[in-house]
Amino acid sequence: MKKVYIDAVDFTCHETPGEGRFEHEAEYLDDNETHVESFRYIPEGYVYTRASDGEQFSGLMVTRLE
Amino acid sequence: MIKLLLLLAAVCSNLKHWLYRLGNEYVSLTGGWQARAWTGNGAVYTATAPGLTKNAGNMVIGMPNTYSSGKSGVVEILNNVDLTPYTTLRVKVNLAIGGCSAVSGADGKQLIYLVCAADRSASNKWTSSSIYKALSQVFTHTSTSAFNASNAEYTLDVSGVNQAVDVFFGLVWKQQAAGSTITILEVELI
Repeated sequence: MKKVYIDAVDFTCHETPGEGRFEHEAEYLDDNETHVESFRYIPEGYVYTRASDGEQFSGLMVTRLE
Repeated sequence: MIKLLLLLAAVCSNLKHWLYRLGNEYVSLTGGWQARAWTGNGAVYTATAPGLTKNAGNMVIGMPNTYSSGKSGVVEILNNVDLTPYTTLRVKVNLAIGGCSAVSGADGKQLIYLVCAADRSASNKWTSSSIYKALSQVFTHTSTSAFNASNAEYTLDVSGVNQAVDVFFGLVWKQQAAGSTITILEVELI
């Protein structure tokens, strides 16, 4: 489990706080994960709308961005 | 006109592929489906192969153990499939989930995940961010009551997965008062 800061719009993960980000203890990111920016993390209870086609996905879901 | 129809069929065939549907395992693509002892978290759940019964029109995953410690396994395709052309994994299942133990503190649960991972090594856990490429915990049950559902659909965003990967149902079951089954009707890449 790793503390990350998630963008409230696109759910991308960040190491540091910032405008439009919320703090989250990410159960499915390893403690030693050093590339949190490579992940999109949608916590349970949130819904992510994929920009390319409008498809909606319910959390809890984690995807690599590359 | 015929060429146009053939072209249209070719384009459509590139848009979606079944990995399982109504008894067809699409073996040329998937290699078939199997159950395997591979845990999502070895420190918490014992690696245990779930049951897998292949019927004429469906496949039934069994999580049979009752009043037992946590177990975890997967039902997966044998071949890695390149997900580059696809954006979404969609499954349709029937659920017959047993209630969890009423004993206080038993921490009973049944969890279902959809997962894509390039590394199949059972020495790793499939919930590790170094292993999965995409993961969704699509079903969580902790109630003492049983739960049933027909034609439940779940999806996973695979638009960021641009390589050949294992595609599987990840499963966790612990302190069930009654066994559970997941009947797989369809698995589709879109």
